[in-house]
Amino acid sequence: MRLVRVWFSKQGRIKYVSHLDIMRCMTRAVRRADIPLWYTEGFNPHPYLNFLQPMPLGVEGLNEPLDIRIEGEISDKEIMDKLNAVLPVGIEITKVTEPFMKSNDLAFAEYEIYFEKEENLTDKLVRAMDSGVLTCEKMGKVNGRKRVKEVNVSENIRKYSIYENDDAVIMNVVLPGGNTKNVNPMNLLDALNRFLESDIVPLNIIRLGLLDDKLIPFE
Amino acid sequence: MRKSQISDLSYDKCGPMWASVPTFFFGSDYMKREVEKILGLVQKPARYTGGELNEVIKNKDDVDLRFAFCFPDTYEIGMSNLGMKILYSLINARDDAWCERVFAPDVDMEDIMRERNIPLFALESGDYIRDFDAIGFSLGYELCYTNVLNMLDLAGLPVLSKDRTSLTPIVMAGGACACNPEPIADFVDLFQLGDGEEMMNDVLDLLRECKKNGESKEEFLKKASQIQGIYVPSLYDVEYNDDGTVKCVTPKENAPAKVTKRIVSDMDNIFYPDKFVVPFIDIVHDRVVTEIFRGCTRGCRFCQACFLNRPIREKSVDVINEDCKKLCASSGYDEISLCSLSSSDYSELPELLSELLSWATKDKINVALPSLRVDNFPEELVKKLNEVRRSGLTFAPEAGTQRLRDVINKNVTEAEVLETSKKAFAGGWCAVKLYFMIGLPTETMEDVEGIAQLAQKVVNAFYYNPDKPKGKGVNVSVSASSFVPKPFTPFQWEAQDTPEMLEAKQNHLRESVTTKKVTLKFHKIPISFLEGVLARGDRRLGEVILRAWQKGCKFDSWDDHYKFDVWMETFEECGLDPRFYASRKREFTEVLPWDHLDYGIRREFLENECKKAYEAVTTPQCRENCAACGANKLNGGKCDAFGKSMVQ
Repeated sequence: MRLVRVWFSKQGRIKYVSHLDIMRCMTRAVRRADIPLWYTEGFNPHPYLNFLQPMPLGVEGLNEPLDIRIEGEISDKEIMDKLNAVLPVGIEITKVTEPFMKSNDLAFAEYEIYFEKEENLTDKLVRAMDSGVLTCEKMGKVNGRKRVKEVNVSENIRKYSIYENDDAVIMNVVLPGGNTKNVNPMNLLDALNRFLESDIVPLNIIRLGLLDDKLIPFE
Repeated sequence: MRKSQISDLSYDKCGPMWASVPTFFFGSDYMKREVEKILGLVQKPARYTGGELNEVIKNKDDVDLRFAFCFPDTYEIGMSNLGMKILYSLINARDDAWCERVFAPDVDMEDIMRERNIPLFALESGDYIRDFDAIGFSLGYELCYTNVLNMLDLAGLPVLSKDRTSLTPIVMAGGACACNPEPIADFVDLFQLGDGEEMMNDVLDLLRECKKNGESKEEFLKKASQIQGIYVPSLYDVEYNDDGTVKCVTPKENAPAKVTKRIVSDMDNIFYPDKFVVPFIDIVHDRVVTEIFRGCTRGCRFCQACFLNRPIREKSVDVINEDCKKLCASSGYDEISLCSLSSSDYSELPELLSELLSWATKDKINVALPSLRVDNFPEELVKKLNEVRRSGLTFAPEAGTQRLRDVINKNVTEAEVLETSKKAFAGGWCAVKLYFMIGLPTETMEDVEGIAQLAQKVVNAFYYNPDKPKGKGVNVSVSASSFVPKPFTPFQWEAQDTPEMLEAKQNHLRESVTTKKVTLKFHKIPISFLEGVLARGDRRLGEVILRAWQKGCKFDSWDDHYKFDVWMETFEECGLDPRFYASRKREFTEVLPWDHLDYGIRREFLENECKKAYEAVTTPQCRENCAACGANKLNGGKCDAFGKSMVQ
């Protein structure tokens, strides 16, 4: 049994497929790909797939890691080619590596949020991001019960920058994305809209990749 | 280029850690911008994006016909439908046509679509279906009728057939409800009766021809009515008697006086997909499905599917095995379900299962055998089937007492039910599901009590069983649906129990159950009542359906959307009594609204079965003795009930 880390990108309309559904889709893909899988030994044998960090709905990903347990001889290149031959449009395996870091090392995720250009948008966004009082509502547990919680988003923005190109206003932002703390870019957008009293729907959100606590790209 | 670079969090390094992308969004695989904008606002957006594995993408400039296959319910339900999978692949196998899928958007999506004027679009291309050449609806059951109207309207098309004057899009429909299409005859241009595999191609050939020659919709429909199995309602005039019953149905323009359903004669040379679209989201039946035979040999008198799908036609073991292999390889599914009306009646079941299991077990694929009968429960086989994964057990005694089971010709005895339950418990199961119906013809309160007693005996069987699983209790889950008389069954003349009677019977059953080991489940009575009205309705119901939909009725089979009061109010407005359709017993001499349609079953046979039901006399199943239902005449006298390809 050998653990491999498969890196994939998820772009286009498939971004609207939720994490759970991507899991099922990948499980079927590894079955179709005829990769020698290791199966769990319970009453309901199934292959072992571990998505290190779930993706928020509606967000594209460029460097998403997935760990798979392999039983038997197969090269990394072969795994990649076999999987790419059977995956639905929008998901592509970009590389297969050894797992160098552990999932506990995950701490942050880097996003790019694309906004439709409009006057003063950059300034407004900067004002909001620097305000220090961005808050959003989030479902969470209070004393073991599910409640809507008010979350301070500002203190969770690890770093950010905003720039413009010909098509859009683009915000690059690093948010917590580890096993213990996780802030979804949707929460940030929610907070921005609350602060600006606006109704902005971004053109696109892309997760560029995952980072460890020193902001070093996850491997 | 970087216009502002702000870092208030004492961080020196800016700019991306991960490489950014130079190009983004608006690529080829994105939705229309206006649709993209709303997908973030709705539940389960993956229902509206398409892009699943094995979906068929064609170049729209390369095809002559664009076909929107509409399922009048949500994605999760429609994607489970086998008929849709077959016809989707069949139409796409043609070079001249592109078939795409369309489902009823859920209420949240519909609201936003209407608010922002986004018309109904097809999943594959994202194009609006109002511009397509043909729109086909699959009518699984009656309560989807308002959704048909709603989808046409969402597409931006007039809902009434007569208001759509151009040739395209032509609106067609098929499926079980096509056997009495009269209630929705005003909305649909043509109906396909029976098996669609060959008929669909005939219709599309004709449509392509007419489109090329610039012919009118009327011309097309006249020609279509000459294809066997095609019913064009606008070519038939219906007259009524003073008492509201049908007086006569008169064909015009050379349309046949009786439309005979179409069948495919040989299941081994029938089109069957080698690929299924594999959905991302969880749907109702998410697995490989292969049909093992069409029709049913049992002849239970309440069952419409049995009589609509005769004569019996079996698929051979080799063909089924190959179908399964191909589909598993192309989909990655880990479950195969063998589909038929009564799987244990397949004549070569042991051979089939050993073929399938020879490779399925190795590949960790589970084989499921739904629709098993109690009287020939293949115990050994089921044990084998559960080597990979264990599934639930469901039996359908349908009625609580032997007398009533004889009335409906279920041909199952209590001893058989108990024997099978014992076997199941010995095999390690400790939960069994039992299906019953209440409101069956001639039913008394004793029959209703019988359901509770039978369930109790099954519970007892568990505790008397020396091999029962240790330390576990038993759960017998009883599901009692309300009987709805359907066209083309021996009970097509029967009165459905009134809502009051059904309620009394449900209450009585609830009181008759004395143990917590039995859980009861009922169908909602008001929903069954409407189903009863629509199932045997005539053309005058078109106005009711139209008005009820205008008042917001849709998703009528969903408890939380069904508006019973609105429906009843609409019946009143239209001067029609729903009880006339549901709760009235018809005479054999009455002209039924579907009498001009022929499903191969002789009317005398149905009448005779109905009379035998009153005397609680059973009819042996087809394999023992041919009951001469008449359906084999559709297949040149062939019926596989007597062994494959034997001419009777």
